[in-house]
Amino acid sequence: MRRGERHGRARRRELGALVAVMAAVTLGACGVTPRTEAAPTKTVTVLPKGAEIVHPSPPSASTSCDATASLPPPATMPTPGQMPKGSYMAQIQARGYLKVGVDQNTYLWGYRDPVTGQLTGFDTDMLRQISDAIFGSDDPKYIHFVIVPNADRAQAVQEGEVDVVAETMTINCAREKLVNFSTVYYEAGQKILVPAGSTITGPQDLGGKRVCAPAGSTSLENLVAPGMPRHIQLWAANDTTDCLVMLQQGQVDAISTDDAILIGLAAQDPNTKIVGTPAFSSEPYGMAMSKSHPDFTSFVNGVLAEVRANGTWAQIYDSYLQPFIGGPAPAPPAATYR
Amino acid sequence: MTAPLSHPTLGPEARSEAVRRATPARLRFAAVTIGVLALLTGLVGALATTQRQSATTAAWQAAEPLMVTAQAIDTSLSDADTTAAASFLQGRVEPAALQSRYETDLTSASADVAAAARDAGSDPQLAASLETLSTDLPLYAGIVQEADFNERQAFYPLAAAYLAEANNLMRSSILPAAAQVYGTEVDRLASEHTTAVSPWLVALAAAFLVALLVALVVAQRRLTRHFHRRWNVALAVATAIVLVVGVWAAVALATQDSGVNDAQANGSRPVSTFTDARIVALRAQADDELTLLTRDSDPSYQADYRTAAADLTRLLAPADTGAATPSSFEADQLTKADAAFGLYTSLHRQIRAADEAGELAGAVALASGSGSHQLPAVSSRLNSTLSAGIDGSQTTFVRASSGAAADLNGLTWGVAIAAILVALLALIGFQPRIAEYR
Repeated sequence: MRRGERHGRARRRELGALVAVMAAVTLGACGVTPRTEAAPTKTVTVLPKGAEIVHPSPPSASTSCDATASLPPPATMPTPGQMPKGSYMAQIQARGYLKVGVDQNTYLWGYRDPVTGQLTGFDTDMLRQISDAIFGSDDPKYIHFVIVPNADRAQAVQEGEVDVVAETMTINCAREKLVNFSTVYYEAGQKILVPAGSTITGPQDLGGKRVCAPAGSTSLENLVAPGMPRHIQLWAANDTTDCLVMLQQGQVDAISTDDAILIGLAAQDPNTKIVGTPAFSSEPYGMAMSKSHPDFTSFVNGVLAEVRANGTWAQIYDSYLQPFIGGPAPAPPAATYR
Repeated sequence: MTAPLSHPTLGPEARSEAVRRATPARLRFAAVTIGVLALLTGLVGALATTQRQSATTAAWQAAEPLMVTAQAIDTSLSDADTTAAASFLQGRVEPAALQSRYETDLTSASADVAAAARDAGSDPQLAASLETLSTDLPLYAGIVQEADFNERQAFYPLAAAYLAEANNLMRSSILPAAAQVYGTEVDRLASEHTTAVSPWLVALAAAFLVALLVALVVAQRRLTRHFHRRWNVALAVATAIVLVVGVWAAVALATQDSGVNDAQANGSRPVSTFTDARIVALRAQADDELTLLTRDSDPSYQADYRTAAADLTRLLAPADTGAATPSSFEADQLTKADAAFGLYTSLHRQIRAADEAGELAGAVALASGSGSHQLPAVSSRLNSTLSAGIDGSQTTFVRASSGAAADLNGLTWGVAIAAILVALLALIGFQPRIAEYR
């Protein structure tokens, strides 16, 4: 998987030089007189679309709730392909496919494999377990992927656009009011991604640095929480991958968000490292479903219980995350029920 | 003035009248007036024809090629943007045909920017736009290369993020600069056209010509009356020359006028329409590709698609040319393009429907497959119809413009020589009468 033999950083320097030479040649060749301020020192800043400096407010005091406790699974799981009459799963079966909401730009979690053209990743594989459990077959025709923007995840579930969303979505009390969450299927936490040579070792070193996080995320809020260094220059990008583009272009010094996502970014740039262990926030991931059919949430929890128990969880972990984290697969997060 | 007058056939009263009115000074004055009037008429006429001929020539030999260059920059860049997205959407690393199309687009755009810069003149806004193009194009190429590099590593999301950044640079900086260059050249051509059919100098020349004719006729009538000569050969010849040159100029200018208008109505105007349509069509295609490709969090591509589609519908509607009827060629190409866009629109709906129903793989297949009803083939049909429209209108433009310029060939010299001849003939025509007083 790790194919970045060429040093991305060195390559980028070459590229920068090439760009400068080309610009000079083009300018010279066509006789455009550069304006005085446009001399060779002129730096053209190209940012990803929508990237901007932001000033978020600190996270609101956590409302006490036990959001990670979900509905218990049914006493006996229905046989795949024979969903109980009147259940929401029977409706899905009648429709002929499960509609799931995913991301296609989060490496290792939900992304399109350029070789097969198929959506793949930890989240998408977990979702396939649900369609397998409903239809009793892993034929791809039984699962339809809908790309749901991060900001629309709860809405897509509430409005029935999709049956279930699995998109590195942190279970929290605010979201718990809008949707039903499954039990926790991955324990993430906020860390920091920096260039390999960086002196930043944890959040305490971020003072005065430029740090990127996805727009509208709790990651941004956590960076201005009490106890964090002051004067962090915060950049919000539309997408975490845009943060990596900015890091590679030298426009930010660090990226800070869920370690699960950072692992995917680090996997795309061998010249980076993840620091800030242990994580300075807890981000338990859950699948989101509509509150209108709690039987479906119970069913999904049943699938997750099987997936934890029968080694599938470890298998999925091994195929996406293990190569970049190393060591044996940890125990899957334990389920808690109401 | 004191010399005795003698005119055998005039009575004393009439003679004294003739003496009073046809003194040599008056005759000289009339001769000089007609001569000067002839020279002025010639001068203004020559200026008018020179202005028109040089503007007509400048329009098709200088301004129009520049407009074509600017148009080529704009379309090459739009095409590069679409092609870069298409090649990523196809998922195979560097499909050879798309790769070479992208490279051709970029190299020809760079060459055209250099060419445009050579002829930019001193327009500061134009220079600034060309500088933006010169500096941003290599940056753009660098970012696309970075996307390509990451795609080769199978770092697909990062590749897509770079591609989105490149697209953003293209749309927020490069294409607006290219559009500005194109707009400047379109305006320049329009101003050459306005000069080429400018009526003011021609009207002034015509006024001089009429005054000259009147002066010649009046002079001849008076000379006939007072000196009882039926013909003043020199003045009669002068009058004939004025009439002939006047008719020649009127016919030539009218033909040139209609040629220039033809060049504009059936040449540069449809070139502009087809160019705008082509750029918008490419943008709509890039919107569809990028929607699938890069952004699960960016609905702006589809919003932009709707704007682009509305623009394209307006551009492809039967041309509203005012009084002029669009040529059958233009009407045909518009109809064909509209039909091709109809196919594109229905394919766009299928792609959106598939994507929204969660059949992403199906949507991607529709948007990148090689079948005749999939996006690459459908969009290339639309593109090639529009380029055929550009090329055909371009040919009409060059034919009509060069014809219009040729209509005025020799007229300037003709007018100038005729003016000198008429002035000389006026002097010659009066000379014997003046001599009678010596």
